[in-house]
Amino acid sequence: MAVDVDIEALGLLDGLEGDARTERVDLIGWLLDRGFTIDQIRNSAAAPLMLPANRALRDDGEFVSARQICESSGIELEVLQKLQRAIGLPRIDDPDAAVLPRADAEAAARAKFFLDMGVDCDETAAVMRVLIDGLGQAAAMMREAALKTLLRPGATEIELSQASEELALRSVPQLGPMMEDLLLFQLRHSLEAEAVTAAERAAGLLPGARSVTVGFADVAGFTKLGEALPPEELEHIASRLAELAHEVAQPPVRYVKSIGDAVMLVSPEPAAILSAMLELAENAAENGLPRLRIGLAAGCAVTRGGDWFGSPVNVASRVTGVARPGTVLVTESGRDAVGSAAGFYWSPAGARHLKGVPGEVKLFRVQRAADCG
Amino acid sequence: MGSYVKAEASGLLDGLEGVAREERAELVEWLVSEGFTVEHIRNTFAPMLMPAGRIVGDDGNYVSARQICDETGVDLELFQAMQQALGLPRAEDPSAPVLLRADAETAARAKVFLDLGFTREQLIAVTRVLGQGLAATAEMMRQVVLESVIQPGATELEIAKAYGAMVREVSPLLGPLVEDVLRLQLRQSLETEAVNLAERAAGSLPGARQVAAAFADLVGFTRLGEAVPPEELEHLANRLTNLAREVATPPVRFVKTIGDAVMFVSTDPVALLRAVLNLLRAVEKETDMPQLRIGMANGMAVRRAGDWFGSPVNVASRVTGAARPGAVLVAESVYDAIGSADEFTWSFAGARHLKGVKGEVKLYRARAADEE
Repeated sequence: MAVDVDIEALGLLDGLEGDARTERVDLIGWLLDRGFTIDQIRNSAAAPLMLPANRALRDDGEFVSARQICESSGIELEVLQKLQRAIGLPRIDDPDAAVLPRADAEAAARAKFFLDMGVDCDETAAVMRVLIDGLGQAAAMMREAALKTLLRPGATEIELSQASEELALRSVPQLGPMMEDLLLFQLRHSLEAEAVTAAERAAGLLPGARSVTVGFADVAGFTKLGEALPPEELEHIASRLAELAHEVAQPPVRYVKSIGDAVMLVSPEPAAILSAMLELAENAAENGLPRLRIGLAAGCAVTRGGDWFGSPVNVASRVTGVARPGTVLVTESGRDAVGSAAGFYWSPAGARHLKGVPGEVKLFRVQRAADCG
Repeated sequence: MGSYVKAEASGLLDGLEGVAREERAELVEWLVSEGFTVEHIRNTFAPMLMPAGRIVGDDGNYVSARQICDETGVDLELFQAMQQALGLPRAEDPSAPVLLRADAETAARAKVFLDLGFTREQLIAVTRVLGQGLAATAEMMRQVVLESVIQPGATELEIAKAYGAMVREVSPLLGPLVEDVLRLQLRQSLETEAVNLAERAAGSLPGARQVAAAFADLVGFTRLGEAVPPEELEHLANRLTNLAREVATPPVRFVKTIGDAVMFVSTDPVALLRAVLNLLRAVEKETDMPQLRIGMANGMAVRRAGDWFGSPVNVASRVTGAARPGAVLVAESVYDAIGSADEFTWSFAGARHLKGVKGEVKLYRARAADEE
């Protein structure tokens, strides 16, 4: 009973009433029995029921200062702070304040081997940023999937807390080997995708800007749908589009990303991406998705951290904006790049002014040759 | 010399002349002495990267889909779905030994999720997102590592050796790094979204909720893209992302960068408006950065796989398109939600028709009250 009084006085039950309050009292008592401290419970105000799962994910409840991590890892303070920011940890001005969870602080320090290899600090931070972004999406999805398997109508906080701890304990030993496999897998394929040319070697520089064709496919009327459909259904349409885009993106065509209601693909071979986009339009129609607007442009672009930058990216996006639902539009640059590759039927779609692009851009509508006789 | 003849005869030097031909012959000779077969070299897009490739599992050992299914107990249909989720080409004949063993084992590895109680659909979706996230990372790692070994005038053989040595040194460290970062993300995803009583009672996931969404867009990016090299565009987008991350402190979340724009959400519209005004100020302080236009809307949205879907996201994007350079424009939904907070001043910016949104939306320009 003494514990209950503490809990109350510490404000751990603020804003809770009735059953919720009773359940929280039970949960806190249970957590205290399992060795969690009042401080830990208070610090996890948003989700004390996830404390056991977090402990399974190596958060031991200990806090360290930036200086401590510098000493144990041999990373300079300024560099460490940069790495910590890169993985989304809060900026802490006092390097001696022991306020960072040890597990989080150590994750940032793992990047030290890049520094040891001679990779500079900004580049290392960029790698970490891309890594954290990529895995953030995966973590959010894993959490959703896990909760869907764990949630039962009427489950108490203690039951859910226990179930998530158990799931975390079972999955942790599997995560390491799986992640390593997956990263090596991606490294193998990133090696395949790009050779280093003689000219680049002569210059001692990495592959810079190169000629590519970029395409976007956009769900027509998505904003309007958003006003009429519940958010869950919108999400379903967007993820179905991403799935279909993955299916058509076979090498040398690469799936770059999804952006809300649009997907972006890129390819060094113009005919391959054009063919993929036509297939995507067909597959979308077969799968009952709203019609797609598709736009492609060719030109010089650079890739960094899995994304692409350059004129063809911006122009393809503008072209997509002017395409009619159900059509594929290609700029003159794209048409020239595809050249006389077989299988396409071209019809002129006029010259348009595209926002931000000087002059007018000649556009062509493309269909499969087979569809047009 | 014997190998040179072999390289010549194998057709591996076709289309190469002069120094490039000599360098390739030298590389092929060394690769053969390292145990790579001519066949393997022929099938490789970048022979120079073969030693590194072998370290990360490209060892020329091929298996059939059926073989891996037998070994791992995954059924063929699921295995093929996982291959596709990872972006591997689909082999028509499941008995043909055409899959790199390491690739096939990676696809089968995802079976752990089934054992943890995930459904097949969940497993495939998680595998796809994990693959996608790590693809970007692998790309970035390849770039920074190559940059650190590539020297002006280096021969193919020199790069092959240096890159291979570097990858050998680094590869054992990659697993722990990625594992740690995933655990960090899992912890954060558990913390940021508690499961509330109502959701537990219903036995279902957090559904749609009230959030504010905002986009900040670099003005004139397309035009700039026609005038400056792609590297400069990338640099600019990168600077915007860094500044956006700086201003996004909880409860404001930085969601993503989309080309020349960044996206935020927050359950607290006041905090979000404060953050985007700070971003506007930060960008104005930078030298040679284009102005921003910023738009914001409020409403019901759902979070899935780290992204957000729903009306406020679409409307915020349209409002951004209507904002003037250097201005923060908000939809009526935001103005109503914030009410009379002392720290902002408002001016009515008219009612506009926004594409895809029924009727007209009242727009307001927001400024920080301490701005003169």
